Amino acid sequence: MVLSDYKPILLDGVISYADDSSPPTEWIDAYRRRGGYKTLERALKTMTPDQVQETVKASGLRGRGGAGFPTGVKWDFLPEQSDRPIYLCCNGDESEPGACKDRPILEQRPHLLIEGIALSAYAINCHLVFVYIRGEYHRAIDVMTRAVEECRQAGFLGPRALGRDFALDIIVHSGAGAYICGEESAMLNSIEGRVGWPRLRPPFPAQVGLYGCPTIINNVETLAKVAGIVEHGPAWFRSFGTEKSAGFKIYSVSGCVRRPGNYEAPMDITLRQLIEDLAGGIREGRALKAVIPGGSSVPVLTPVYLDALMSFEGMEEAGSMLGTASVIVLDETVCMVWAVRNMLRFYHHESCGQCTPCREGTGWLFRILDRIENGRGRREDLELLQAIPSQMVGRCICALGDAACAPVLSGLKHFRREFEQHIELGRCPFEKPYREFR
Amino acid sequence: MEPHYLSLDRRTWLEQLAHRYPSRRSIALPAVWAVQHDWGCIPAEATDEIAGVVGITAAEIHELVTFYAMFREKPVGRYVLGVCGTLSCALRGGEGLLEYVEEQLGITSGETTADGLFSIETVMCLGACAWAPAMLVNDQLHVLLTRAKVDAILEKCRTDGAK
Repeated sequence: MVLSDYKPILLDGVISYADDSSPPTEWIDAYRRRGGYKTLERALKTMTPDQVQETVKASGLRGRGGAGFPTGVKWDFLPEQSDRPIYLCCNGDESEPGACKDRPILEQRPHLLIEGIALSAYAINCHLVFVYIRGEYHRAIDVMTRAVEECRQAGFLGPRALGRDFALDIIVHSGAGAYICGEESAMLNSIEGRVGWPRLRPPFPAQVGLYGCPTIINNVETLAKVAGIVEHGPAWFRSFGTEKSAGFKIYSVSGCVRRPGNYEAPMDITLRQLIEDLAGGIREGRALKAVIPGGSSVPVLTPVYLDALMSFEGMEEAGSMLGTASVIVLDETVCMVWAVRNMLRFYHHESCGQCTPCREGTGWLFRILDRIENGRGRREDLELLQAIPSQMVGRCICALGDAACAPVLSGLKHFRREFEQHIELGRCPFEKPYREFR
Repeated sequence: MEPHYLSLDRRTWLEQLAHRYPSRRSIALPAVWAVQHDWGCIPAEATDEIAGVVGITAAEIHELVTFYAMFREKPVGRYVLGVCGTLSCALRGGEGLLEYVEEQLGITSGETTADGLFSIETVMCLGACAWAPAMLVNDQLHVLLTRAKVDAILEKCRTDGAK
């Protein structure tokens, strides 16, 4: 993939926080000036809902929230005939450590998202959409609420959207600080006014979802791509990326690189291109130690895999997962025990407490990692770190417990010697210059 | 119940919301948010009133308040500093940032200054990983923090807080 050929589409005109602490929003007039909502207008006039769905299916678009499920196929799971309303939920609960890719869409390009939402709703015969945004995203909530209001005033939403026989309303629903609400069935409970406990499946949300009705849940970035796909066609989208990972993607690069940031690129970019060319390489001339390629829930990779493609299949072949494509880069000064301990503190805090293996397991793993890092590790701790995950993975209602085990098991697999050293020395052998705040 | 924690304006707004949602219970989170916004926290005495407006039990409201990390049961300072403690921030000085803020204010995470101006909270990933280290000051996100930036933020809070 030649990077210089690619011009950002989702992030077109988006200003990074690096340049401005409150970057501007593209409101409705600006969006329309560059042709916004023309695709929606055309689709409502000239396409059937099935044609919109077929277009998205043919594009090969896969979900950008972490699991990578084909979007058009997901929509197909809805019942063909339903006497109950169908709901669409846009997942803007971005909370995965490392992930900050949905934020610029929500804060700066709300109408690109709303146009995608409206087209998707039309495709699946849905008339009420919920945009669930994490409570900490105050600005995103304000922007999306105002953008929805702009659309109502302009007649793009309402009982007759764009004057056509298509009713559509959007409700922006704020979360209140719970990572688990990004899990789709927990999100449904949260919208219903309940605690964010994931639901047992089956039944799947496409059959029994929000308020017991058929429901589709798609990520912000996924829905933000729909307008472009409908405008330019599936072949255009497939001209980017690979056969199995069509199109482009926002990659969030954070940690020990010279230029952390959100980088949009076709999905045949390599991890090396992302880190070295786009993010400027490792800072202060240090060596790369490890990469967490898809947010904290995916296995850690060593530099051996730098030439792997940042596609769904590329990361799978490398032994990890693309997840949210949030690349956390660790240099040679970073202590792996410290890093894994940090991630486990997060999962322990965020476990919803519903299933015993996850509730107890995340806390147990955290306490063991905490004592190893602080020089109080015991010889048998490494066996425990291996054994506890075997009692968590696949034994809970949702995947949070599994996710918590990924950093532990992959950290041990690639950096076992470091864990042993902590225990033998009775202290952390690293100086940790990155802890310093200047 | 007489409007106290939920004003008449808030109640009117919640009724409008209730008409848009397919189920009345969905106004539970917005109702709790409204009380926290107006009162700074969710006092135990407010749960009955919220429950009455939403149409669920006080225990169910309490369950929400204790489950969701952003809801507070106790009053906090006028400015709440939510310092991110998660990996991407920690790799760029997040731990040092927390120590620096604690040092400057003479309190530790979870505490409020004696004058009631500042509270510090350690928060989980803020979704600002690429602009680390980051912290929230009430609703406002501050990114790419340095000592100089933190000094300026605290100074501005003190000036505004004295008004």
